[in-house]
Amino acid sequence: MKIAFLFLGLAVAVIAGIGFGAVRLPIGELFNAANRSILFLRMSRVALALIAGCGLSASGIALQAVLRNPLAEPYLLGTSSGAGLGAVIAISAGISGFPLPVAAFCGALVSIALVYRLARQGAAVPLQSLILSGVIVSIALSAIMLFLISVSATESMHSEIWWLWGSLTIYDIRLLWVVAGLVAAGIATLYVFSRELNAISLGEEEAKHLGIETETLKKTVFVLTSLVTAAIVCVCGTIGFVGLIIPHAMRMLVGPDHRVLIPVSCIAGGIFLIFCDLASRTLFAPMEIPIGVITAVIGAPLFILLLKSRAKKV
Amino acid sequence: MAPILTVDDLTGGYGEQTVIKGLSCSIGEGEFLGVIGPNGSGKSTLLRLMSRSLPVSSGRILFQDTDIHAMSLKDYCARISFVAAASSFSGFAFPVWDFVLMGRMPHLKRFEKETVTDFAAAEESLRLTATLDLKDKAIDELSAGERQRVIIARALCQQPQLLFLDEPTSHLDIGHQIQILDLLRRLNREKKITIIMVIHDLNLAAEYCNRLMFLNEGKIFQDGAPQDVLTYQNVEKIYKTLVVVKTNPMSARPYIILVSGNNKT
Repeated sequence: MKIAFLFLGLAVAVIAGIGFGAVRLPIGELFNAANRSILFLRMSRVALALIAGCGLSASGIALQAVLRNPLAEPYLLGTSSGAGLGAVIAISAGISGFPLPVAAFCGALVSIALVYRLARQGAAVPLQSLILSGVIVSIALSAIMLFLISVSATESMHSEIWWLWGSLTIYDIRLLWVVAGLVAAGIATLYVFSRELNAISLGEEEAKHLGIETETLKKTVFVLTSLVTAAIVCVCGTIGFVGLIIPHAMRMLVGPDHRVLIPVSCIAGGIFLIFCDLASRTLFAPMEIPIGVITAVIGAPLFILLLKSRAKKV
Repeated sequence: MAPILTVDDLTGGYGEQTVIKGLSCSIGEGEFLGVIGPNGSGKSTLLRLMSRSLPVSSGRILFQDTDIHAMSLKDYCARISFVAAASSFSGFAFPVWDFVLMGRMPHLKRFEKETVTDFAAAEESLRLTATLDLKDKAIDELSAGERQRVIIARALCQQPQLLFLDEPTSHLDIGHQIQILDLLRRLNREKKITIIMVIHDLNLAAEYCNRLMFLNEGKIFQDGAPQDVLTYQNVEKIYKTLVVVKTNPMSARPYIILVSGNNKT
């Protein structure tokens, strides 16, 4: 029943995302040859929103389970600041187009490697040191990034800040395919580990006593979520809030079993981002508001509402 | 009585810190062994080395005839299970039924779904621990005593030959303590599950265990029947406090009476 609702929601979101936009057009005319480019543009944005929503939600879930930290989200381990720094360096070097996300992805990979190296103690990766080194690497890289932004020329500053706030504008369709491939592969692999995620969400020692090699699982989840997040961040910028609240909200609705939670949250995250993107491009059309602003403005009250309604029930 | 677990010159601890120092012992099938000793004597560490949640520095542990590190962790966990101290629960709110069913994980392959056998095992463990009527509740809605019974149910659902418990009755009132320990005794006698339990309460240890291993500073101080191990000389020497040892008239087991105001630490 809940699943049917989710798919209905997704269908509505996709239709709305394609049907509405900065340019007002009746749905029928959208399919005219003359408007082909608008249709194409909207479809690619909806697709990217869906991919980003899925990837960020799934990463958030996996990290919350492994770290057993309610504040865990895809950017906790420093991926976004690495990608941001890569992008800012590229923009101030005058790079645009296809190489820009590649630079961001490289930045993310560097930060992942750095966080992992700092956290590792012998063969083990203790959770506390993973979180701490993630935070420290984030702070350090963000500082370098801010410095670069502050000394860069005004016109590149604008595009740098825009990039950081996040946008689903897609300027190269090849990117969409690459990101879709990476995110789908990442989520599928995380899903394979959903039973292990259930066990480790109870505690590392409990998981060990259920026969799970927790070190391997932690490393797998860390690498997978980092790659998925990096792929999304380097194309969309840092879209906050999705990876934090969608997992919590869905856990309240369908329970903590990851075999259900992962697919449900992916769909919910997709729906959420499609609507947020729609709002970002239509509310103040023709101006576009950064999608990160919308996710926070819509997401925070929605989440509080859910929290309150659940508190009353218990 | 064939040994189920043989510990040979075992050394280990947390990282650089060695807690267990060259310990050897053998635990027979069907025993109900209590591991006792003062804080920091290495009781919990020994249990974790034996359950493979801590790595061994040197020495070896055999399960029946196989080195426990020669089999996969999953295979080992299909033979043993572990119950930790009753404490506040911080995980996600799984329903009791799902929580107990997780005990089947060591028996399932990656893509294998739970079958009738697994559901039967879960139901049987819920029945044994008298928690069947809780099966639809969320784990965080339970009282401490109920939760500890559910945790034991999950351990039973693993269908272990050997069950480790680390202070299973701490933080519970005496009613719940007796309930848990009576349950363990029944499992030991009727289901032939070997039990190795770390417990602080010497009277409960004496009452329920048929063998006590008294640890001090990472070594075995004395190992044997409760009446031989729990003498007032032993207790006073290791715990550095005055006690009187009597015999419990109900069970003929040793019973320790505290004498306040005489700590010699």
